[in-house]
Amino acid sequence: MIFQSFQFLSFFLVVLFGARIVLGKFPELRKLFLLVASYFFYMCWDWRFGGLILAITFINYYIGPKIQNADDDSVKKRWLALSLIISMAILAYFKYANFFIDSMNDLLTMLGFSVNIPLLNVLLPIGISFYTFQSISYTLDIYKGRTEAVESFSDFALFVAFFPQLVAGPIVRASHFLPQLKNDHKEEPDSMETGVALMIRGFIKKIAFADVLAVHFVDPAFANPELYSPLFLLVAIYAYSYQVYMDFSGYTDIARGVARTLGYELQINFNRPYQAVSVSNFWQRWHISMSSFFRDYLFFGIGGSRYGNVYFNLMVTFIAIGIWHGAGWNFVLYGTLHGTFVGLERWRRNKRAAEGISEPEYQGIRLAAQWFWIFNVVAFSRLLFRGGSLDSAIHYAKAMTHFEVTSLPVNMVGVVIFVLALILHYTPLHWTYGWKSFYCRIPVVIQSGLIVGILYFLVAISTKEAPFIYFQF
Amino acid sequence: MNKSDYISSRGNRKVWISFILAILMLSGAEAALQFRAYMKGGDEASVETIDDGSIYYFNEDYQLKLIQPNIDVDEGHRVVRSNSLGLRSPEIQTKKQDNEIRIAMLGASSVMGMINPVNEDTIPYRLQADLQAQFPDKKINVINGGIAGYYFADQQQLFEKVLKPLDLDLVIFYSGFNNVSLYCEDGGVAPENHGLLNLTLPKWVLSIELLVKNTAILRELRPEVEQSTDPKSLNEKPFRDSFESVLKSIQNANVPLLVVRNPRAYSRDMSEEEQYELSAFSRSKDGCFSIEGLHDVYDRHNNIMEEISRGYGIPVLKLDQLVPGGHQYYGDSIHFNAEGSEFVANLMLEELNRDHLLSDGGVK
Repeated sequence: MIFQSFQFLSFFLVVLFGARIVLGKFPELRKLFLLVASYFFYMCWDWRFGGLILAITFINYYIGPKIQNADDDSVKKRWLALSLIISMAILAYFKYANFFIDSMNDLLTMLGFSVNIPLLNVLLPIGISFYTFQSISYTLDIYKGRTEAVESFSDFALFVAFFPQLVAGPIVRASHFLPQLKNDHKEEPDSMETGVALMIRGFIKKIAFADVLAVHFVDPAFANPELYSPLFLLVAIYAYSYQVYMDFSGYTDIARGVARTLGYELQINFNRPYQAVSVSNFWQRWHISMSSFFRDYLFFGIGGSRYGNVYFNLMVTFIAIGIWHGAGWNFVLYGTLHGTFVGLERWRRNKRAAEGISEPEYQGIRLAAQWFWIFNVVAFSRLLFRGGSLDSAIHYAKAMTHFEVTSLPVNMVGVVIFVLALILHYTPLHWTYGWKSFYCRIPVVIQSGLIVGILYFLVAISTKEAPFIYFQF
Repeated sequence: MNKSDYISSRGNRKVWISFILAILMLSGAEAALQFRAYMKGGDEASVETIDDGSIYYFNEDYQLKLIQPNIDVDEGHRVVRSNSLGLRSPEIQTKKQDNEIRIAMLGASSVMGMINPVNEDTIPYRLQADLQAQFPDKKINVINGGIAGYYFADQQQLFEKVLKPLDLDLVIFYSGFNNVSLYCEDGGVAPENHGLLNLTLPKWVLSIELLVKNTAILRELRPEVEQSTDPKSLNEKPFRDSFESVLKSIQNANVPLLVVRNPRAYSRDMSEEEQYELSAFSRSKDGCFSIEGLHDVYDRHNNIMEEISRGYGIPVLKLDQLVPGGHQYYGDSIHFNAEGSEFVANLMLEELNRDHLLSDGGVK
């Protein structure tokens, strides 16, 4: 049930009506209703995965109080380890088993053994990386003393399965979400209105920007790179960066908007990522819920900058980020590349600090040049991401050197959308807030007209009912 | 604000009102379109709206899409008059008269005259007029057996259920290439679905269809970026089998047959821009092929049709090689305008005479 479908819009209206109007004065029933709706939402993809999410939920719910109530730290650690091992084992089986088997086969062949371990016939459950991490954040937070074990199983189950962010985040921390499930939690006034504004923005980002960029630039270029000129391939690499940003941040906007209309707040996930002045700064602006998860639970967990070698710790963290995205050597390399850049930046910063030199301040042309440089680092590293495999990325890179090919199929709609995406990304942030307050201020009839008009526009420009890119993770 | 107070919030109330108003606006637009369709197409319009308008209905007995019987509908761009059989033809008696020649032209939108503003501009009508001039003593009936969107299976069904009982003297089979479009529909194989529910917009909703139809330019791709399927990679067996099945069906009824190769308005010797413009309809219909792919796939499938027909000793009219491309005869990529209908009818008449399919004013 993807967001931009008739099915989701119908589902959303029914859930909103049920949660707000019918069960509005019965908070416990309301939460149960949202839990059932969330499982229904997930099982609309594949009913068989309902059991999987239930199992992960039950295991971590059971272990949570064990960690909290253990007197001895070593006992706490053992329970935490059990939670991590079981959760990660489930994730590894569904997501990484075939990658390991494939790599093992390659290694054995390289060593001269004629062994062929058969691949497993497993389907990747949608959103498994998101809800697994969300579940283990609960036990980790209890272990760290950041949150308390929750008494109600249904509250915990709702935290894991809450449908707006279930399949592609943001990864919600237990310490952030569970307090919102308490009955005395205060809701922001006019949360429905701002939620709807967020949803509208998300749908526009996804359908009018991400999908259009995909159809006019990215998909054809990556499908047959040898057919296009290096210039078109370069534009397609840039377009992909905007596609993936519009796609993922569009999803996040819709998820946050839907959650807000239901009375819950999800954290922001993006902060103008292509205005980053360094690769480390990029990761503070891109998929914030995931990068901060790895920072807090892995980087700091293995020592951060205090214990061990900080560069090693950084590399481990970024390789893990790469692998989180998918099972393949291209993702390992993607993480390694970013880890290298972040390590280098850290080394330079340390060196400057040791020499008493202050950090450079970017302004004007220098700032724009720095944005452009970091954007290029990110965009080109995504060749590994979009190509699907190392071979595809190499194939694409090679095609970029075929200067004899001159095909530059420019489509006006595609160009307009691309330019608009660029402009929007670099407009001042307060304009965005202006859009939300503008929507809330206009008369209700115009609000309705806007909803209808945007709906028709999105139907008109929609090239396909494409799933969100991050669903695959 | 406590959760139990949210309904009283002014902003939240406003959202509910805006949702209700939006739903009312959408419903109002849809109701207006349905009413317009009803006025044009009668009772059945809201029951089954297919293709480019609302003149069709689904005949449960024949399991076929047909034009609503006995209508005279002005759709703005065309007037469609149908007979009691649900065909864009004059009424025809069940029993054939002694001096009557009955020909059925079996096909799809090209035969039906999808872009012809009046019945008189369709190919069957023009052929009937030409034949009538050649055989003034005979009563000529060329039945328009074309319905837009028909596949081979529909054409076979139409022949079996509707046309065969009419005691035909000849069938001209101008099939169209709707079966080629099947190659672009995910290979025709849907992935196994384990989802709990898959709710889609009902097919009778007109707003979306109308909107999508009139905004094609927003979604149009340059020819170079189209995701193209390699025609050589296609499994042509289903096409062969279903085409052959239609031929067998007509032959088993002992009705002489003329097969027509499907023509198109664009050709390889035109400039790229001209081909792009003229192929717009084909590209929208068979979107998984590049323009070169369309040339290739249409030629290959015309060849298949000709090869099978020759195997049964059936003459073939090579319209694709006889009708000049461009705007003179075509209204879009494949459909003929009035001048084109006349031109094609003349070519058919010549072919009928050349093959003596209607020698001595009777049927061979």
